[in-house]
Amino acid sequence: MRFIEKYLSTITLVMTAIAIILVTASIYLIFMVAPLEKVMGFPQKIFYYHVPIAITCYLSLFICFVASCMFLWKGNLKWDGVAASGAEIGVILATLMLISGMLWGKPVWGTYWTWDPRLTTSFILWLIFLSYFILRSQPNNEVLRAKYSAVIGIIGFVDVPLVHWSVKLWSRGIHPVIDIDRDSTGIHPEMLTALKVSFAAILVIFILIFSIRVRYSFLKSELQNGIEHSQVE
Amino acid sequence: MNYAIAAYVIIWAVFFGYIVLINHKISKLEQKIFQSKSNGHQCE
Amino acid sequence: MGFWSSVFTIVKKDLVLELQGKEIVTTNCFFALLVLVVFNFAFDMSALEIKKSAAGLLWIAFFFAGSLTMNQSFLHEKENDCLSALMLAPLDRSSIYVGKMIVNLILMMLAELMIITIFIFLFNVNVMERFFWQLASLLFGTTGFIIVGTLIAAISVNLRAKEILGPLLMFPVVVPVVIAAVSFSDGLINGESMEGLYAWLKILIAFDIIYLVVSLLVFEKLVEE
Repeated sequence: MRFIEKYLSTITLVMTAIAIILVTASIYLIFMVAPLEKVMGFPQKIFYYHVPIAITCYLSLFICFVASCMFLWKGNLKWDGVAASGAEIGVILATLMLISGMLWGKPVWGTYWTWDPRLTTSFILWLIFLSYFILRSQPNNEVLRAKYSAVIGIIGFVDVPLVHWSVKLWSRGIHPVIDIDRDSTGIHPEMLTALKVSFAAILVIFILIFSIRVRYSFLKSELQNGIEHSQVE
Repeated sequence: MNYAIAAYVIIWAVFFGYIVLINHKISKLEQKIFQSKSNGHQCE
Repeated sequence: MGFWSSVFTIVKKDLVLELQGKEIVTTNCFFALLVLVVFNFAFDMSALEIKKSAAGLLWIAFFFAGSLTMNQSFLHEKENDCLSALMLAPLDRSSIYVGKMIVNLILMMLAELMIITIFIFLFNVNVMERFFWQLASLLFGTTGFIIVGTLIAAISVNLRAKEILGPLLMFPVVVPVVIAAVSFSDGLINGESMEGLYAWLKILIAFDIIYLVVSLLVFEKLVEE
């Protein structure tokens, strides 16, 4: 931990450099190399960022879930900082996922929004974690706030499969399902490369943002502890 | 065509804006921590 | 004291309190009446339409009445700091949760039966035609709602904006219950065969079990000092 803290700025710098390289590479691959999709045309290019963002969003909320469990189990406020970071970045990624999905939907389906299972599930997830932030904004005791938001973080994430199951039964979707493993002939190899590079770019950006955000919440609690200490003294 | 461009612009703007925002907040906090630490030393 | 006897004690205490004040039952009853009157003006209530949208209307009324019930459930304890006293009592912490849940379930089922009776009289649609299945949908749907609601009521009672934050935190989480319960009731009212409807019942039961386990695990950590 000490080692990481000492070299944090160097690590951040290196990560930023990698992120810039990967993003540039992904832009090049998406717009210059990958061929146009026959049916959907140019708007299909949103797909290369939409899918990695969706996956990273679930990853981020999963981190929030695990950190919430760890906080309730161990009671260390640092876990609360991790959970809050995970939820915040998860909400931002979910918002980007919804916006990019809508901008894809308009030209392809002719409408910004349909109540398709995947869209609805993401939307409900987004609502749950927005309510998580409304709860966090209620300023009371720090330990209580951590406990309450941990509970919402847990029951919110447990909800995902249930929401998806029920929404799937409720409506039949039009969202494309691209199964790379089974249907590898359906996707052009250059499209796959572009997707992989974009995925790496988003993942590096996510790690970068996440580490900065966690550092922020640790600093914040350090400051609060410092004030409390000086008041006690 | 414009939809895809718009989506990418929004995505990058949000990522960039968020990183800048958090970094700004961190530098503010660090300043505060530095101040409170130096105040503590003065009291001693 | 054993687990179930302490649960029973808490249920008895709250029901006696409710019988003396009758606050929740009267508010629920009046509220249900008001909601149905508003529905009458808000929607075109020709006979065919009602049968198609009856389940949705009923469950909206239930959920609104339920969020009222939920807000009340820990409010009594908050006054005079009774919750701390309950925590000091030699009880299993989770028995407090289960007790509160059962009380809420009883009060909400009462409200639902009232709403359904008024609905049948006012709109002349027999929604209870397949009585036992409809009862099962009410029971499992309400249980899911209550399980999450009671847990969230224990949180929101300590917040400043408690009246609004309870429903706000609860509704996104109970979306699967809303979907499954409304679809199940709707299928029953409109005479669909049970084969297609079992899936909804499965979702309701799965939701109840999963959230009961999670809530029992979490509640103890939530209330400990």
